[in-house]
Amino acid sequence: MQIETTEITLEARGSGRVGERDRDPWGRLGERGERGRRKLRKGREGKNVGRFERWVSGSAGAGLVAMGAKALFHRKWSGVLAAGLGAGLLQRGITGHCFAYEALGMDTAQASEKATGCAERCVTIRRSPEDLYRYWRNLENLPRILEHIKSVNVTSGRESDWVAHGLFKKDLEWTAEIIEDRENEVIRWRSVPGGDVETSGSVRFEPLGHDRGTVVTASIEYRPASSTLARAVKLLRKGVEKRLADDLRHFKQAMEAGEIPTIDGQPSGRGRDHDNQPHPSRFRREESSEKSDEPQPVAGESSESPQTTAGEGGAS
Amino acid sequence: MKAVCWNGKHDIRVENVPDPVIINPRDAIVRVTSTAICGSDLHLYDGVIPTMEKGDILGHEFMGEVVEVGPEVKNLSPGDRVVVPFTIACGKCFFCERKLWSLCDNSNPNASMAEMLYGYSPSGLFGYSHLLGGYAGGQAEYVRVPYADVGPLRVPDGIPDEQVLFLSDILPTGYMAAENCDIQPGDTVAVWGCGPVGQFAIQSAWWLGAERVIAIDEIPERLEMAREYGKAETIDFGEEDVSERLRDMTGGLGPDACIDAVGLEAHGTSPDALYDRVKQKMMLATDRPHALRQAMYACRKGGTVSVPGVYAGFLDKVPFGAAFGKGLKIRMGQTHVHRYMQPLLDRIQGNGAPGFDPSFIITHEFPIDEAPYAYEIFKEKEKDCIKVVLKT
Repeated sequence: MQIETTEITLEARGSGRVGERDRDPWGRLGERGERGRRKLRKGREGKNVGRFERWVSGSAGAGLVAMGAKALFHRKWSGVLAAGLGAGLLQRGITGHCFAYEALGMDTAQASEKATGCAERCVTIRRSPEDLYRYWRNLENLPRILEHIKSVNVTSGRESDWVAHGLFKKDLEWTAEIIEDRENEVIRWRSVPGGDVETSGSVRFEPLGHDRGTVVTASIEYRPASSTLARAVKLLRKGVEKRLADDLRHFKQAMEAGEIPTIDGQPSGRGRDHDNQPHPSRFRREESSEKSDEPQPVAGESSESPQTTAGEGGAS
Repeated sequence: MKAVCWNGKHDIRVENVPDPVIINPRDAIVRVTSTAICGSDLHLYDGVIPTMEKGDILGHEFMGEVVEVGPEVKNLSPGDRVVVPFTIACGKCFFCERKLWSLCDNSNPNASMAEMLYGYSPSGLFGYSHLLGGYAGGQAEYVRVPYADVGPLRVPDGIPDEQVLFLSDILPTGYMAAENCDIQPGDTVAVWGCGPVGQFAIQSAWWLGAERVIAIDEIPERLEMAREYGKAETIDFGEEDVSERLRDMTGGLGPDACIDAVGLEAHGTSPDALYDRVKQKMMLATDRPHALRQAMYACRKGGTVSVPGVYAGFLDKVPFGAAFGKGLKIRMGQTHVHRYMQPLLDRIQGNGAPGFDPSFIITHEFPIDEAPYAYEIFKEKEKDCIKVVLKT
């Protein structure tokens, strides 16, 4: 069967608007061009460089522009390169928009916002919602699993005083009130104004079938008062997201295994343990071995060739 | 107490350190009577495993006598003789419940670090880098055993240490490698690597019903051990082309299952092996999968490649197209030791039938002070060294 292609082709080419297509080969301008133009404009205005990075970029750019100008003044053409690069860095520092990032689809602005403020994370724990809710609702349990919280003191049915570790050994304090409490389902709280930190958060408990336990979803937000910003660095430095992830993991470990795994307090061959002195043994009381009374040989000074002890076992 | 400490690449020292203490309620302290050096300890010795710190105590194959228990440990008492699995498992999480002990959720204090590299963290291990917990290991006179109500296996007096010590790691590892091959009647199993794990994989393949077992290596005494104790046919990869030889030996089909008991520090002088070494020296690749490539290439269509050999990071130039095109099953992972300890102890004891004595793989025994020398000869395969046991 013959297929007539000529007319179809002309139709698809938009009956004569070939010129426009040539101007906009990838169709970004869209049918009337409006949507496409708006998209381009948004890209240019959108900030995609993080705050700290903008400062660095701007300062470096300003420096390079100055260096470039100086070089040009002395008729060194490398000044063009420096000034050009500097101008680019300065632009992204001032406007917060980096064309290179846009082309690559990168965005460091989002990341830097999140790290200072809020986070949400979930974990599955092999316990019932009732057990988990009961543990969490007794807020005075929380310092055991929230690493950065020093103490929680429940003062009334809904209110509690919180103390967190701050920098320079000056703690951060605030009062929180529970604003929603549905047994075995959800707890939401927020801080009362006037504390060192403004905070709000929630924890949800959702049962899973097939004996798999409960999904616990927690979200937390911290906004330090400007007066306490320096002390709050300790609170925020680890990143609220990472801290929440660790806290939920500790909650899971405590509720499933009954303890949080750790190696703090174990021996090693470094630091204070690394003195090569005989350490009094905790266990040798009943043994009649004379080893424990003599200073142990320092590694490297011991033995001659071990050929005397080699060669046991079934080797061919 | 004396402890074998890592102090950098090829720098092992026996240091004097404090005895361990009970830290968590489910801990126990074990006085170590025998401990072994594992082939994977050599990766630490060579400095190719990241997150080691100077002074870390090594050792994950150990056994001994319980001397102290934490308040939550009800099933062990001081005086009990135990073998301790090298993977640490809580017994209560999703993975422990399904007997996937080496994937325990709750035994790695540095889980967030492992998550960055792997997506989710496996269980903690004794003496095997901070990525996997940083736990002090058992090449020492005493060791702290977390979750002691779940891990340690009580073993009867009367059996020498040398016959039960390997329940801690390599005997279950070889067995799980063979079990993962899903061996059917008539199957031929090829094993790359005739070190201790390979030797036990050979034994296990027979136990699980293989028709033929073919062992591949280059070191004469290891090939000899595979023939004498393993009753395996052998291929010396330094002398012949492994894939061709396997094709000839299997009537043109290829082995039904291939076990890579070599892991990330494979030897070899073929172009791909040299490429691996160059990339590793230039820090562009972390693992050298020469044996794995051969196994994938040589395996018959629809067969299984079983990987107990340790891999840590990233592989390069692995023939995944061959694996896909041939529809291979690839099974791998750290051993779920807890699953196999009792059944393998039963096999060792015999209980009516002739028992199995795994101590044939031991070629050297030293007091713990000689650990630096022991690591050296084990690494260089000098003096016919195949397995070293340290006594405290």
